[in-house]
Amino acid sequence: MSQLAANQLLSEENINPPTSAAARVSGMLLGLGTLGVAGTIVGSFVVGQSYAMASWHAMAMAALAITLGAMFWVMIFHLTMSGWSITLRRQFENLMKMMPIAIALVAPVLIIEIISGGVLFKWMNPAVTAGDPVFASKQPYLNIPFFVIRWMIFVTVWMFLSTRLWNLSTRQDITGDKWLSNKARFTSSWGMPLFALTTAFAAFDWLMSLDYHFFSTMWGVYYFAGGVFSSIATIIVMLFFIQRTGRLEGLVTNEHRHDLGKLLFGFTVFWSYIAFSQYFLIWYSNIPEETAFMVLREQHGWRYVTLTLMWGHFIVPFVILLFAGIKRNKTTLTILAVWMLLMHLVDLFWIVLPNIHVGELRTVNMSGLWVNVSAALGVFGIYFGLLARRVASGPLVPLKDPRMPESLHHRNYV
Amino acid sequence: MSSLTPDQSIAEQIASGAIAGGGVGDSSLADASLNDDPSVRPPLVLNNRSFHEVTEIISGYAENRPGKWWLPLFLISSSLAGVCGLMILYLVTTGVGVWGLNNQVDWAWDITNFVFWIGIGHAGTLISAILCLFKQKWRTAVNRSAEAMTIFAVICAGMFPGIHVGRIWAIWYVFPIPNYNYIWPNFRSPLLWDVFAVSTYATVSLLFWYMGMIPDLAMLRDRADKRLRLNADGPRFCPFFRLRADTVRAYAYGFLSLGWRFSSRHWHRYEKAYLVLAGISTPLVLSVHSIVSFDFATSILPGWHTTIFPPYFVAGAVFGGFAMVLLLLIPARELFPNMKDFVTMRHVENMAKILLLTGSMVGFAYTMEFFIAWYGGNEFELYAFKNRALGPYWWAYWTMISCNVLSPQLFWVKKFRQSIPVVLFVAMAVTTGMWFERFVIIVTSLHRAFLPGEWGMFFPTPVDILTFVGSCGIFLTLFLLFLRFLPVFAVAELKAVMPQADPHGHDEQGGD
Repeated sequence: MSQLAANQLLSEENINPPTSAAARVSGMLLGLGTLGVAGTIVGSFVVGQSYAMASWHAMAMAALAITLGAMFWVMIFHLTMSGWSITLRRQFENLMKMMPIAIALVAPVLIIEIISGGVLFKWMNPAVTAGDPVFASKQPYLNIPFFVIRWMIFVTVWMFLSTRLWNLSTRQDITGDKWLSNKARFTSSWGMPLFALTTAFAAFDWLMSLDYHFFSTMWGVYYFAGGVFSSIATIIVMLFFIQRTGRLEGLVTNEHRHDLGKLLFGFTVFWSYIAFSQYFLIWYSNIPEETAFMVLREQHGWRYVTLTLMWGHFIVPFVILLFAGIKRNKTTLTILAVWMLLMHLVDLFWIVLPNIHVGELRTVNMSGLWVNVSAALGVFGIYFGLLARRVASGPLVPLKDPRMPESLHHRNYV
Repeated sequence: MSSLTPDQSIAEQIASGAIAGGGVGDSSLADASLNDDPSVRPPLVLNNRSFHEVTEIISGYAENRPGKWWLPLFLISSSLAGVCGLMILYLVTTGVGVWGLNNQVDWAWDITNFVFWIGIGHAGTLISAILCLFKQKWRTAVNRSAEAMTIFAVICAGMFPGIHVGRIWAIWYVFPIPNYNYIWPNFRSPLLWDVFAVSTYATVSLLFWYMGMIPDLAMLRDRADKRLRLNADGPRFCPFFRLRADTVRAYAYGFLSLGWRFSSRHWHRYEKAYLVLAGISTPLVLSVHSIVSFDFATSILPGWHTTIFPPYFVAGAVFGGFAMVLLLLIPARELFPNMKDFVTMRHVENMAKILLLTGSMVGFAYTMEFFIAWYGGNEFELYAFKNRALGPYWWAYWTMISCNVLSPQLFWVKKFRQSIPVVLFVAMAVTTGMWFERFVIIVTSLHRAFLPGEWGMFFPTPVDILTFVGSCGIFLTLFLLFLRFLPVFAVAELKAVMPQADPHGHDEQGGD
């Protein structure tokens, strides 16, 4: 009888991709994305080139964080031989498979930077760094050839890992070979240290070096923490829209949502722990080259953004997500996930934008807000638009995963 | 697709003899718990035990005489504990000059030991709280002893800050107690936060451990009581009194089990309380070692001030704690009859994997520290790190690297994860390495200050060494007492992960 029930759950109409709906949504999002790109380009002339580029860079890094976070989760699910998450895993894999898009979204700003000689990355500009003894000691790391080499290494590692994990999972859809699960586990095991190192150094290269005097050993963990929880938030939103089309009924239940909510809660707290530890140790020790980073974000109106992060990224969602009922309700959990995604964007703006304001615009630039919104629309219109197509490109669950029964029977209170 | 849940199918396969119920004796390397087939969950209890057998075996550890090994071990470890007591007495009556501390290196073995023990105290709560929240069923076999280990490690840890102040009679000043001199501790000092963090952690861990034990203590009580009733003329405890061992047990376990009656209302509240305590303990696991790391990282001393310290210390603590769990449980599963059915090779392998993970996390933190020390462009910071690796304490640094980062890398190979001697060797290496990590952090940063006139070296005195060895004695004594007199496994939780606990599968249709 449960055989029958399982078959009904895994019936064609329940797991087939929502092709027409996806095409509609994707068209709309890509349209918005195009508008956003246009807005950002206009903004670069009206408000300032560096401002528009910084906005775009912040958003592209946010999208990259989500993609890397999804890859982390796929590897964790394999490594822990997780059973409950099987019906969700394909969505994590779809998100992970956005890797080329995320890399492509980050690329334009980096290319323009290298060609134009450092508008955001001031260390690329010899006129700025001339006679700076601090820079001189960092030059073996912060130079354009090595920067490009590292970039290529990151891209290679991420593309290889995401493609391999994707292929192992989709091959299992066809062959049903259960031992592919163990292969994926093995890939994840050695993939994890590579992932950790590349993510940390990418965060150093593409975010921390925006202020080349600043340094923090925590920086890689901070960027990783942002990606881990925002990918969970993205999955919650994706599932909401997929289920709107009548798919995944009974496959992704409130039990799964409850656990996703717990992970969202847990990693919101984790992000806050990392963010607080970093802030606190810099604040307490008060060493000039570190403190400058935090001082800047307490002045010129950035204080309000900092406080928004404190309340909106930690305190408020912490209290709300404590309640089981909210995590088990599709609507409330999705609203919170959207909120957390917005906070993730604010976090990246908070990291990138203050660097630009130095010497150019001393305060938070409210008149440039529309450029930020355009950049967000541009990056995420394209990202989510293509994600919708990807979701529609194959079955919505890993069809023949050997642990599928566990996920179908997943319950929190037994 | 199989219509059976994995637990069900494994149960059926065991019943039909399709797979072995579990290895016995020395052939444990090939036991069913190591089944790597992704479509089945390997059994967590081997040899197809019934619930009754589980009760008998586990109660037996507390009720029967232990093997011949117990008493000699206990005598040795309690003598060492006595040595620790004598050393502390000598320290208090003489002064901290009996240690190798000097003007320059004014923290050394004392704080190293403190951080070492408090780190070991992390694995227990991690297993019981975080693995509980992540619903990792394998934790049930190791959580009780790991929690006990936590408590004992925290006891050893708490001793050192107390005695390192020199004037131990003034230690009460660390607590904010109103007094006529208006002397208050500095609330802005992480050292004070440490007092709060560690005492909170000790309290919550104790509650967690004790609360979890209540049903099992009640089980021991009821068994003693039943034997007294059935066998009124049984052997006496002492020839001169009418006192019998079971009478003592019935009263002692009865007192400790707080009137537990196995009613469903009791179980309901127990489970709620367990979940709440797990929720509270999880941030505590993180906070304690984060605050310990603040002791160092809030300063501006090169080598101490680095922002990755909080998560790095937590990872290191879990690392050291799991190594200690393995060091304690591997001998225990050899020495106690039938314990291998509960602590299977799968459990050992899982813990080996956690050692690999946390060891690599610690390695990641070392890499970040070294990279940023260079990248930061601060010559003093860079000097501190170069001095660690190449200075007079180079041997401590390289011991740390080889024990903490290199030795767990053996666990990439499945054969090593499943080999008891290798696991034991790595666990010992990690325990050594984690002690040296704290020594490296504390001593190498202190022994080279900004002025050459402030350079000095630290060498331990015999009192230093014997105090540390003695603290190991205290730890082992308490753990041996725990093994002898208390329920070593959480019986109800262990039974809940056996196939019999779920005879119909957790399928809501329940049709098959």
